[in-house]
Amino acid sequence: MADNQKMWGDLGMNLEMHDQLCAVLPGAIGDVFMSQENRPEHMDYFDMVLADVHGLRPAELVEFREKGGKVFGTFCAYVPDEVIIAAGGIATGLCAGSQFWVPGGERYLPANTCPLIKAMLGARFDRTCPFYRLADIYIGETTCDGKKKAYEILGTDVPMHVMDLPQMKRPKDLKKWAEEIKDLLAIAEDLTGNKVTPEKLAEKIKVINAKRAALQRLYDLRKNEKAPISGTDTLLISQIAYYDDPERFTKMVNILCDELDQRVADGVDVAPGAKRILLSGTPMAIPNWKMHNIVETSGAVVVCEETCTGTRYFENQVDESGETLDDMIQNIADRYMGINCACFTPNEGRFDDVIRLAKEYKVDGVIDINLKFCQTYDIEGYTLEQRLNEAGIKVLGIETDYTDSDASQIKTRVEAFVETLA
Amino acid sequence: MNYYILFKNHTDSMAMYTTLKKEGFKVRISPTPRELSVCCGVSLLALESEIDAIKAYLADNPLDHLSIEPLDNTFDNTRHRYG
Repeated sequence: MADNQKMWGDLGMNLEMHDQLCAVLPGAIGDVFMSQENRPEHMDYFDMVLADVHGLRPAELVEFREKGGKVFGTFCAYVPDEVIIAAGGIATGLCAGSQFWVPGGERYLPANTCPLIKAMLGARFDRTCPFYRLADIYIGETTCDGKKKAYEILGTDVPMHVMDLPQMKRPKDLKKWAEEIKDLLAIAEDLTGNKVTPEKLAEKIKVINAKRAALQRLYDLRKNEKAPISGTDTLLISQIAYYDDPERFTKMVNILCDELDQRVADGVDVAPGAKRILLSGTPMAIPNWKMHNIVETSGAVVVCEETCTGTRYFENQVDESGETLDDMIQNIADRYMGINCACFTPNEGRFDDVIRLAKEYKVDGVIDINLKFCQTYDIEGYTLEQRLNEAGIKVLGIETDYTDSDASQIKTRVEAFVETLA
Repeated sequence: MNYYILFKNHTDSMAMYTTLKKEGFKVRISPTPRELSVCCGVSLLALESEIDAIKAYLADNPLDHLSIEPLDNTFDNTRHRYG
């Protein structure tokens, strides 16, 4: 396995520090994934990606760049991959889900910043994530104040473009977002040297729609009374969605779903007798598996995530009927503005989504999960709880970060919550 | 005891995984434990009950790999340590 070390060295990574992550990650993967029983066979592809998460995909990106390709690093479900890949680029998510990167971020950011943002900066400036080394440009977005200011600091070290996401959803805001997507298209064309034609954009809209459809199919299978796959495994798939080649990912998700179809027909249940939980709230970037692991070892199974590593990522398709670039860009804008992030006001759509999903997935309860110092989701928790109570759906609010120190406390609270569910 | 089959590269590991699965062995894809390698990479995790049969199969049907290593580790889903 010497190849990875050479690649990481060539990328200018801090090998000694990165080795500390290599030392702990296999153990965490063993505890969270390899300990599970009765997993679908076709999780093997996703296990492979995870087992060499800093080796396999980065090696592909290195090869792509050696041939002149450009890599666009992204942080958010609002950045439209269609546009980037239509220009011949690759869009990849950037690591931000481990406590390992947080202390590095705290050298640049106040401690009372959300751990995801601190991890972003730590991973970049500590040089301990190959994806941060491989991106030719980072594409940020104005989904919270913390990110906006963090992007200013990141921008001192790497080319950075920030998309100005409107914070309301009036018709003029949809037009404004379409303008932002046009700007992204121009930047992608400039960086890659490739012209985005209507034919190419139409083709890539279909590619990403197919990816969303595969994820929707996976989630639909979780609506069955007997859970054919754990929430923890599904979370891993959602996390990998941000990194993997979209067409290969779609194919592998559909292969897995074929197996899950059979499991449903055979009555396979990975969590017999477990209470069904919907997790709602802040994104869970890889390798943040904390809440799923706690919930699924507390007499419950996660059957749906209303998060950016869940339904917000794949629900709703881009209308494929556009013929001109302008039409297609507006259709892309309309789809992405349909995502209900807590950065919007008002954000009634999110409350409606959570209640709708709770019913569709026949959940026994909702856990509203907040990363510490994520103000918008934290504040929305009040109204969300009210709305769920009005709908007769039990809810538990949890605030946490990436550390392990509160895991036992949270587990006690989750176990108590699960006991209250009918 | 767990047994890890280590490889020089990902291609070799997937080739052996596919072959051993076809032969009915219950091998699983695993990250390589730090105790066995300085580099995060793909290895195969074999059952103790199958390791002798796997070694015998590989003796008759050589497939590229570095070594097969025992490791006394456990997977505990209540440890709640996430890296």
